[in-house]
Amino acid sequence: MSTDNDVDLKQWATDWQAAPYDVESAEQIRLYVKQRTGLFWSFAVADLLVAGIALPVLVYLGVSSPRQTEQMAMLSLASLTVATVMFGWWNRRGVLRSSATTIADYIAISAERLRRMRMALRIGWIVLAAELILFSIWIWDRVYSGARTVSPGEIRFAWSWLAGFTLLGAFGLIKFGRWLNRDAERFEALKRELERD
Amino acid sequence: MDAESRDERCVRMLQEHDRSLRRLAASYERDPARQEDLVQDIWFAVWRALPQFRGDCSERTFVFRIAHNRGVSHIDHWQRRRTDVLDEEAPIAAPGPDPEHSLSQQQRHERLRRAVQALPLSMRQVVVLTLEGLTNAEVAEVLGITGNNVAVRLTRARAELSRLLGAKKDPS
Repeated sequence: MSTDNDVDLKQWATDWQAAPYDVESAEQIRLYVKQRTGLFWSFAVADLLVAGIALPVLVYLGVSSPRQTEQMAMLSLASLTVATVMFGWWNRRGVLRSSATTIADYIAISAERLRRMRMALRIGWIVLAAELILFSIWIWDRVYSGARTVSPGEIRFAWSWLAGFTLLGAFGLIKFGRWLNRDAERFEALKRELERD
Repeated sequence: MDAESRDERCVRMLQEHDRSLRRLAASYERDPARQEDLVQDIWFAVWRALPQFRGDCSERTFVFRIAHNRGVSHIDHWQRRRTDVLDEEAPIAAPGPDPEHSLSQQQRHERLRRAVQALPLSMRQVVVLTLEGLTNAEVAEVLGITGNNVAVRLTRARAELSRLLGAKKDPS
C-alpha cells in the first residue's frame, strides 16, 4: 500500500470528521426529556404505591387506638401522607409530558422539571423531620406513658427502628440531591451548547 | 443494570459517538429528515441493546455494529418505497472542478461525503468506519467479515474514492 494513499486516507479522515452538525445538541435534549419523563412517571407511581400501603395502616391505628396521643400521632402521619402525595401530584403538574414542538420548549420543560425536583427535595426534608417528630411522640407515648410494661429490649428496638428509618430517609434524600446536581450540570451543558448554536 | 445507570450510560455514549453516527447516517441516507430518523432509530436500538452489552468489545464497536445493522435495515426498508435511498444503484457524483488544496475543509467534507455516498454499499461501509478511525480489525468486527475482506474492500474503495475525487494516482 503506497504512502500517498495513506496520506490521502488521513486527509479524507480529517475532512470527514470536520462535518458541522448543529442538530446534535437538539437531539440530545429531546432524548434527555424523554428519559426524564419516565423517571417522573415512576416517581408518581411510587408515591401512590407508598400512600396506598401506608394510609390504611395509619388510619386504622389512629381510629382504633384507645390512647389520645397515639390517635393524634397516627392521624397526623396519615394527614402528612395525604399532603405529601397531593404535593407530589401538584408539583408534577404540566411536566409529565415528553414531547414538545420546539427546542425552546424542551429546554423550558427541562428547566422547570429541575426546579420542581429541587422543590420536592426541600419538601422531602421537611416531611422527614415531621415524621421524625410524630414517630418520636408515638414511641415516647407507647414506651414511657406507663400504660403497659415495656421491656428494655422493646425500648431499644423502638428507638433503633426510628433511627434506622430516619437515617435511611436522610441517605435517600442526600443521594437524590447529589444526583439532582449532576443532572442539572448535564442539562446546563446541553443548554449552553444549544444556545451557542 | 438499573434504569438510571442505563440512561446515564446511553447519554454518555451519545455525547461521545453522536457526531460519528450522524456522519454514518449521512452515508446511508441523503434526505436530512430521514437521516434524523435513522440516527434516532440507532440511538433507540443502542438504548435497547445496552443491557445485553457485556463488554466483550469496545463501546465504539458495539455502537457502530448496531448502527451498521440499522443502516442496512434502513436501506432495505426504503429501497422498496423509493429510489433516492443510498443503495448500490445510486448515481455516481461527478468530481468537483476545483483543485483539492484550494477548497475549504467544509467544501472538502461535502465533496468527500458525496463521493462516499456514491460508493457501493459494501465499500461505503468499510470506508465510513475507517474514516471514523476504526482499525481494520474493528471494522471486521462491526461488519462481521474477515480482516482480509476489509483490506480488499478498503483498497477498492480508496481507488474508487480517488477516482471520484480526481486524485492524481491510482492507489493499486
